[in-house]
Amino acid sequence: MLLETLVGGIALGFVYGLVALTLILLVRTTGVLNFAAADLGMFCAFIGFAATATWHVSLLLAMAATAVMAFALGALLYLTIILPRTADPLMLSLRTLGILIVVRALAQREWGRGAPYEFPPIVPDGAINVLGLNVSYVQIAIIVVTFIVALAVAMLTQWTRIGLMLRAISSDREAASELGVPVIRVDLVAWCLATLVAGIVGVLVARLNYLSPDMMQPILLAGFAAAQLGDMRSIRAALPAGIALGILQSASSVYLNQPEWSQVLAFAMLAIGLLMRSRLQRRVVAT
Amino acid sequence: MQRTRSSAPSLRRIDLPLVQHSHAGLLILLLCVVVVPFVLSDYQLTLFATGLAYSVGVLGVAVGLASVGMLALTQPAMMLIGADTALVLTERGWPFFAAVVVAIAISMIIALPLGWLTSRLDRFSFGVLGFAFTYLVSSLMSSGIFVSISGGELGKPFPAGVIAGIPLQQIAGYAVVGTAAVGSFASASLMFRSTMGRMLLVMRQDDIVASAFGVNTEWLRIVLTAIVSGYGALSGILVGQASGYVAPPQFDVSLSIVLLAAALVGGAAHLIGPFIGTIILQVLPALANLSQVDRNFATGLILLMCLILLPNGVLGAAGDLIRTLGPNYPNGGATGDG
Repeated sequence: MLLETLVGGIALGFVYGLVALTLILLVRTTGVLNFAAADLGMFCAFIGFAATATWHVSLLLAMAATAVMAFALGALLYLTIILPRTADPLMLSLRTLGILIVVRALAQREWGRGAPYEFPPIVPDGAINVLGLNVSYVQIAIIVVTFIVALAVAMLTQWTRIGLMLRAISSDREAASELGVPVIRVDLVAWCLATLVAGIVGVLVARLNYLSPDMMQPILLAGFAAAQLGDMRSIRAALPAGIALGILQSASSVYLNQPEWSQVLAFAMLAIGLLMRSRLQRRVVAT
Repeated sequence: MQRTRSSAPSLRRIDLPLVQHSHAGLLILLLCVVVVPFVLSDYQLTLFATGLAYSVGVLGVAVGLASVGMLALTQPAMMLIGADTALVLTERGWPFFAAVVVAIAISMIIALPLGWLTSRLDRFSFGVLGFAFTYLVSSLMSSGIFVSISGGELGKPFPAGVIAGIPLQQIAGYAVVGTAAVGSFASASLMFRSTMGRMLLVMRQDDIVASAFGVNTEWLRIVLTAIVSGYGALSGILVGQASGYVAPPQFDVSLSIVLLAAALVGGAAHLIGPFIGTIILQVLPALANLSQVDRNFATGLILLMCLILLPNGVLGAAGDLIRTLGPNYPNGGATGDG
């Protein structure tokens, strides 16, 4: 029981880590905190669901279409909502609150009545036995996909020209701009990538739990906590933080028999993460 | 040529207009509150009273935003705490007025640790924390350990208060909501004219400068958070009083965004900006019988359009227009729109 709770928590933690990755990707490059990150993922998952359930497209094709849509959605949001009338990061982040409420309302209007839905099986149902532990295929898929996505993002940022530009902008936006880095193009790529990762998260969560317009609310809170514990900079720190939070939440919902305590824990970790980050920043400023 | 953005991600300064409060705004609000019962039907008056009640919560958000750039996304949580506390106290036989005062005081006390956090966190982080706090309070009240107090997802009827033996129903109820709303707006105006208001405005520009002038910035942030939360609690109680019902799902994170949107759409820097914003985003859609989903959709779209096209809100844009058209209006001064 304890070990199975642990595995469930780890899988959940990987999801939190992916949400943290989408948040960190945008904060580091554009300075914008995307409050709509998780709900964009939900919206993309619904597109994949509609492709299979309504238009009867094959699952593989539906997932490919979802990825393309997520990428295009990121571009559309950046070009129509973030780029016009440049403002400071705080005001740009407020625009993502508007995106959140529009996206959630759209999902509720289109699919809210029949929710929650069961997402088509992207991996087979069932579990395998690893050292006496039952690990479901969905949990394995989450862990594998998270590693692949994190590795792909790391390779992109380390080994490609656009990755070099992303790093340059996150290091010093103004200097990078002065030296000819096409800031707008790089921001656009960051938004597309972040929305693509959000779409992957949405599909994984929909398969892990259920598909519904409000399914990402608790995930977003935990993703914020993981990202803050990673100082909004490092996915290497955010991923273990997400896993720790996932394990704590799973354990609390099983052993305390009060599911809401998992949200209290997420909030406590978020507050601690924010305070730690603030203290760290003050120390850096002082030195 | 490639367009570039030179703004580095800095959180020290924000693009918000200076606070422009005037007596004219308060007079316009008072006039609306007095005239409306003679114009609207009973049902429409209930919707307007509920809107007025929400506008007090929006006022709290606007006060935090316009003074030190605080993103008070905690406001729905404070509204729920205030409403449920008043509900529980009145159920236990407390006089209505005493229950209101104690409920506001409790909300302000709960806000103190959050205020302490504002002095340690940047605006972004406090916004995130507020978002999470509202989610936490709303879900705890909806299901779980506080269900017996809040009535769970279905909520509880909010009994009409009684003051001096008069039950606060229909026009008497509207009178109390209207008086409390006008009083709240007047107190916000007074606060910005006071020494504390001036200190807050200095803090908005630069904390270090404010500290150099002897302002205890940490303490002032805590006090401001408590005041903002006090407006939130009063708003929650008034919403219960006006609509006769309080349910936790009413006060979820979507409301955080709606309240913030109302403050920004109306014009957070103007005294009656929150009132105008609430009329646009809450009262008019309710009068048009839009469903909650359609209202949220419209709110999101209006917020986005406003943030992109009218960053100073409707009143800010109106003021700019008046200044542009009328040569007698001085640049940069208060427009007298409230």
